[in-house]
Amino acid sequence: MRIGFFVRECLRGIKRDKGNTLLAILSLLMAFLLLDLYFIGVYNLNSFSERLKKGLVLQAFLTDELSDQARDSLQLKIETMAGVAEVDYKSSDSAMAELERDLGLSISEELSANPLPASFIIEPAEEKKTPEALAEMAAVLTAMPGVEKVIYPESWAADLDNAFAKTRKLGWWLLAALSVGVVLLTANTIRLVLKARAQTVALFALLGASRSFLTVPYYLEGIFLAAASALLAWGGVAWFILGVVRSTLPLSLFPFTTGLAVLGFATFLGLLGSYLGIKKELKV
Amino acid sequence: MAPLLEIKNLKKSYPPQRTIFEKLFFSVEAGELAIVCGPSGAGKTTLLNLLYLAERPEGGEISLDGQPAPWLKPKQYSAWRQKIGYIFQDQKLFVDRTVFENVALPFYFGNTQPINLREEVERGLSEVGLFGQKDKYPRELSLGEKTLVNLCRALVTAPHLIIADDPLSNLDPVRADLALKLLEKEASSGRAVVLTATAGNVNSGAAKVYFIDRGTLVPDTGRPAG
Repeated sequence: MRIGFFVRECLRGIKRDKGNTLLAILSLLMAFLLLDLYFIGVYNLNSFSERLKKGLVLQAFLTDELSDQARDSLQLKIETMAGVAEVDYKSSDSAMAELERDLGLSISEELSANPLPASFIIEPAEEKKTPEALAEMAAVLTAMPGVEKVIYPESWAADLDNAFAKTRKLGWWLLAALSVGVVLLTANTIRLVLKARAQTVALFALLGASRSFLTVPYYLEGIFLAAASALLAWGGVAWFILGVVRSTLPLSLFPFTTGLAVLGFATFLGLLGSYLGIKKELKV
Repeated sequence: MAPLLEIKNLKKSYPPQRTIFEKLFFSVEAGELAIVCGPSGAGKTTLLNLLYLAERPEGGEISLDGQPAPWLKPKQYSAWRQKIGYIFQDQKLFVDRTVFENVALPFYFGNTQPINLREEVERGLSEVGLFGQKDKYPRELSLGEKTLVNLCRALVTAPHLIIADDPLSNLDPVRADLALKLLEKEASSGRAVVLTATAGNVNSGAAKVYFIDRGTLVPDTGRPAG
């Protein structure tokens, strides 16, 4: 019953200060829009990277003199290596056929012999698709008898990893800055609300209201402001991505669970902001 | 039996040099109705404010139910005030709440609320003859009606002590009689009631009457109170 009363008190306050509430929600909305856009960026970058990583393989070229038996034994050895997901053999004939298909030309008839070496296409396990693991695997493969050379997109893997590290770092800073912004904005709004309702609060205290009675509605109000802003931002970016951008760019909205996590985080920030605002303004 | 309310050696003054109480002794037992009379500025409201911890004395002691007043512990003010029903002279109603909401408010101040809160409030409003006005806002009421809402709010939670700051001055004779009868009923049910009045405007056979005289309280017999 008391919770119902507090919720009604909170809604009464919001209704009374419609202008301030709207202003606070709009300010907080900007912060949550930026946060949501960051999450959309990260999510799409992740999806893009996953697609790229699927095609991330090592190619071990074999020496010409390798017998079929030695080749089979080498394949078995590579297949049992830690971190190897799949090994496919590509003969020199199929390498030539692939080259001709890519070039759209028939060049094998012009050549006296096929110069392309046979190779193994090795797909590492997901957890091994890092620059360090790939380099380590390439070194092991190169040292194997019968392997002449190993190639893989060395710089690309490092660049992708680097880009992710930078994005994550930027994300943390953005998250920290926006969180501080949301907390301060909420705290300031609650302070202003308390200033505006100072007489009411004083009368409540005079009539014997406990501190929890005085503060709970303002905690709820802070939570409401932050959560409502986060929800509006979520709706806004969903409309923007699904309704406007998606037809021209291959972008997706972050998953529902991420949206819920942002909402939960917003609630926490609202609570923290309210706490600071109340602590600063309420001297009862 | 220990008095429900006890004041010992209370000292209160307003700087620079206006002394209200020099050495005030006063006690009220459960079931007693005490009327404190005195001219304007004698300290009647100050006395009630001190009892309610709305003002702080320079010295002395106040105890309620055997507990000393927690002057230095503001966090305990609410628990102290919840034991007292204060009928303010200027009503102090919330203008944006209905009569019903104003009266029901004190029920939410503590940690527990009665299951039949609505019935309790409506019964209280019926007793003061304001049941029909329960959905009205204070601006729609007369001064006398506001005073009765204020009285109802102070009584509805059945506090141990009821203090009333000149509650009858804003009421017509019929309503003043009703209000006084209600306060007498509260006293006879085991609560203590302290009400202030300008001398001569309260007529209750059940009450002990005191006068504020040069910073002390004297009963109408002329003996110092305490």
